Amino acid sequence: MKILACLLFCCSYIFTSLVALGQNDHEAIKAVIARETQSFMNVDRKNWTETWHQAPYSYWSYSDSTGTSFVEGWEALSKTFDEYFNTQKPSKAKITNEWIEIRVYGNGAYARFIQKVDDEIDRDETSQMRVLEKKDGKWKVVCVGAIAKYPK
Amino acid sequence: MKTQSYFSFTSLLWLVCFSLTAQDDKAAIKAVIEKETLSFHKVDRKGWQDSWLQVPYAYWSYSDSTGTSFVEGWEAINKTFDTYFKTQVANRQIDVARQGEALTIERAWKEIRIYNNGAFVQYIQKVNDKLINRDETSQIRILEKKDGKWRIVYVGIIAKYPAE
Repeated sequence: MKILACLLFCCSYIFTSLVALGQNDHEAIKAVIARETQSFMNVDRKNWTETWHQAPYSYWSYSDSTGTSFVEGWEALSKTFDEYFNTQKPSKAKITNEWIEIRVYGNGAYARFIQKVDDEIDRDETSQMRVLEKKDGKWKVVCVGAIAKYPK
Repeated sequence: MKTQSYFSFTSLLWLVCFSLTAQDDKAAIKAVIEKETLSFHKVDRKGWQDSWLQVPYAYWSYSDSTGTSFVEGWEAINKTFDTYFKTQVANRQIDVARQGEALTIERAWKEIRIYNNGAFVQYIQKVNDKLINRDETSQIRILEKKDGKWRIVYVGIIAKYPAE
């Protein structure tokens, strides 16, 4: 009887720990995605850079009514935003992420959400995806995909 | 000494098995991506459907000079291509009527990252077709392994516009 109770306790402990770990991962993933966007809007290069896993396979893409573009590799990606970080002023836009799905595969994850950017002039809605990798216990972004439906 | 040799042998065996599994996974991932694209172009709905994990979080997006679009969830994706799969066979000369010629698909694989039962893939694709001048596209796939089979859960396609 004692052995059975002990086994049940162990199973319940492992299950609870796994659920908690999953929840922690989800929260950490949401936080790093929010930080990546917010630091970009705030023209805070240091913070933005820290949210990325700076790898040769890092990837960024954006599509809207004005055009489509993609950048492959961290070096090219960082260089692409040189002008932005050197010339832009921080935005006061309000950003809301409506989470659609977060899939965690061990040290990799895929997240999808709808992002609403609300400023004094305009309101923009994009469908966004991220791929993230966990390294040294920290989740970092390796892929950004953002798309605004056009024509609406 | 015997114990040390045993552990070295076990480690080596484990490393070889792990490496072979990763190679198998990469080959299987490439194969399912190729199947998805080819079956789509050949208007083979069953083959195309089989390459997808048919879940509510499946996602498809496409962006080029004509516009951008995205579809969320397998049901909506499947429905979106109803017209394509029902009309292309009868109305257009490409693909089914000319399976043996013309259409070739070139891929330059950029990265395949495997995380347990998930994978992230990047590549450049060029479809060569005598009838239509198609853009070179940058493609992203997310796949999941279920019951030992890799299936697609995310398709992202983008043709750079304006072109450089």
